[in-house]
This record gives sequence, C-alpha cells and structure tokens, in this order.
Amino acid sequence: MSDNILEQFAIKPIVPLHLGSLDISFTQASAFMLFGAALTITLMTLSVRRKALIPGRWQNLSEILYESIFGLTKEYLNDEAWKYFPFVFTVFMIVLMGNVLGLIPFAYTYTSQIIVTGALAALIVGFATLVGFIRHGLHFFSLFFPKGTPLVMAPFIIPVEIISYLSRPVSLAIRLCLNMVMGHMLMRLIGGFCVTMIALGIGLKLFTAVTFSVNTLLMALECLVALIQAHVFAVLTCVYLKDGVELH
Amino acid sequence: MKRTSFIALSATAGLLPAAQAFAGDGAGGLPQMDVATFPSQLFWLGVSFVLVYAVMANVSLPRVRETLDGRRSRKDGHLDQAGRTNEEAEKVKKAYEKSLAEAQKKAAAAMAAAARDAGAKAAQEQSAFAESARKRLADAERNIAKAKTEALGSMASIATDIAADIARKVANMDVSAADAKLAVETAMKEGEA
Repeated sequence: MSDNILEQFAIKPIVPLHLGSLDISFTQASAFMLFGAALTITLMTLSVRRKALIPGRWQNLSEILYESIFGLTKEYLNDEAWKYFPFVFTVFMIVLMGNVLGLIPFAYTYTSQIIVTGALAALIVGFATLVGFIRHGLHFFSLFFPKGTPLVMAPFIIPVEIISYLSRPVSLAIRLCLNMVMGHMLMRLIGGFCVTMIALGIGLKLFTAVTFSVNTLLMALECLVALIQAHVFAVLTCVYLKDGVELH
Repeated sequence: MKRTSFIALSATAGLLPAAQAFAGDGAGGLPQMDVATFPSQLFWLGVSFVLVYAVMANVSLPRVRETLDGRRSRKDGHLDQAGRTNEEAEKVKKAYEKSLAEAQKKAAAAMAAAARDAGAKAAQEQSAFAESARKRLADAERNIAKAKTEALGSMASIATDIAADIARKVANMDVSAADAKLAVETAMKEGEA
C-alpha cells in the first residue's frame, strides 16, 4: 500500500483503447461507472419485473428511489415533472452510485473526479438552458433581469445575474467533487495513521483504538454525505430545470 | 512526558504521507488534474449515462410507475367497494330498524286491543255472573223463607193439637181448637219476641 493519500484517486487503465488520437482506455474508473450503471439498471428493472402488489425488499428499494426522486421533481416542476423525471433520476443514480460504490474499500470513487462532476454539472445546466431557449426563445434572457427591478439597476443586476448563472455548474461540480475527495482523503489519512503506528510499534494501543473508532465514525458520516450529495445534485438539477421551464 | 512525545511522534508519522502528497512525488500532484485521463472518463461517463437514461426512461421507470399506479388504483377500488358495502349495510340496518319499530308498534297496538277486548269481556261476564248469582241467591232466600213459613205453619198446627191434647189430659179441660190455636199463636209470638 502506497503512503500517498492521493494515490487512491489515480486512474489506472485496464484495457488501453484509442479512438483516433483520443485515449479512451477502459480504466478502473470506467469499470465502476459501468458497474454502477449495470447495478442501477438491474435494480430498477429486475426488482419490479413481477410488479408485485406487495413489494419484496428489492422492489421496495426501487419504489422508494422512484418515489423520492419523483416527489422531488414534482415539487419543482409540477405538471412538467413527467418530461424531466427520467433525466433527474438518471443524474441522481449516476451520482449516487459513484458516491456509494466508492465507499467500498478499494473501490474507485468516480464522483471524486472533477471532470466527471464537471461534465454532469455542465450537462445539467446546459440542458436547463437549452430547455429555456426552446420554450421561451430570446425571452429566456429575462432570467438575468428579474421583474420589478428598477431600470437604473440594470448595469449592476445583469452582470451579477449572469455571473451567478455561470457559477452554477462550477459550484455544482466543485461541491460534489470536493466532498468526495476530502472525505476519502481524511479516511485514508487516519487509516494510514493507524497502520503506520502499528507498523512502527510506537502507537499506544488505546490511542490507536481511538483513532480507528474515529475512522469508523467517519465512515458512517461519509455514507450520509454520499446520500446527501446525490440528493443535493438531484435537487439542484430540479431547481435549474425549473428556471429553464418557468423563468422564475 | 513520554506519553506526549509518543503521541507527537505518532501524529508526525501519520501526517507524513499527507505532506508527501502535497509536495508532489513526481506524479504531478492531484490525479484529478491529469488531463490525459479526461477523454476516457468523459467517454465512459457518457456511455454509462446514455445507457442508464435509455433503460430508465423506456423500461424501468414506466414499469415502476405502472406498479405504483396499479397498487393505488387497486387500493382505491377496494376502498370504494368497502365504502359501498358499508353504505349498503347501513341501508339494510335502517330498513331492519324501521321494520322492527313498525312490528313493535303493531304488536303494542294488538296487545292493547286484546287487553281491551279481554277486559270488556271479563267485565261483561262478571256482571252477568253477578246478576245470575244475585237472582239465584234471591230465589234461594225466597225458597228458604217459604219453607220456613211452611214449617212454622205445620209446627203451629202440631203445637195446637199437642196443646189441646195436653190441656185435656192434664187439666181435663175441653179446649176448643180455636182457643188452642189462639194460645199457640200468642206463645209463638212471645217466643219470637
């Protein structure tokens, strides 16, 4: 085991692949993405294949995921919820799988990659903007000048609104990525600390035990963070879509 | 003091990897910033996203929705049916109570009529019986009085004969039948008084 706490984030190719001059190697990150996708598809498809009146535990899990995300979408988009629900649900499941699978020891957390969270955030904000343009045309720009604002304020308000709109994908991407990175770094750091103390034989047994307990509690906290961050991602997806659909 | 230095030493040992990481060990710091891995990550993320979206939108989510709708409509159906059954039961109960009340009223009326009839009949029979009893009592009294008079009459004639006999035998007096009769009648009147 390497001593480098950033080692865990390194991408390691499994099958080198090239598309023209692009390196699209199948890496351990890709493996977890596909595994997460396969798990999502399996869970959401097989568990409800019998459409049981009284759900078993897997069907129940699918229904809980469905109902929580549908409830969220409905809360923001009302009657339009049906159109955007699959998108919100897919975003949620991709993020959730990245966060949760990453908590398994030695697993790779693909949501700790800024390029992944950035791509998802860009996709969300891009999609919301596209929806806004399709539904409202150039009127979409009224989003940057809220109704009832005095005209004199325009030179100040419009840049602020544009900056705040553009910072949406940035904050979305960085929030998720840093939450994952920091959590895993901290766990790796404290874990490495325990291992080092035992290896060097200098750790007081009690102190090592306390440190190890802290890491266990941290693990529980990270489980919570994994769920919360996926939920936050879904909520913000709905919020941004709502802006595109309704223009405030 | 020894303990403190132990802890300090341990902490340093633990922090060593962190320091190493941030100092960069030739690999170039954060692996997240390694641009060379971006195309691969974007490609596979795209593949996963499209895959999940396609299956969710076309298969899974409609299926879950169908399941939930089916359950909801079935539950609502059951609730409706329960409501209807309850209403019917309520109706039957009301009809039953109504007929019960009617029957009670009828029975009460019949009872009252029967009681009235029986009372009237009883009173009639009683009065008829009392009448006949009074008649028979009167007859009997009359008969007794007649028998008594007859008995007294025969007794008076016997007493007159006996009195005449006694007077003749004891006092050698020849008493006429009329005198004897007068004497007996007087004596009988005194005895009655």
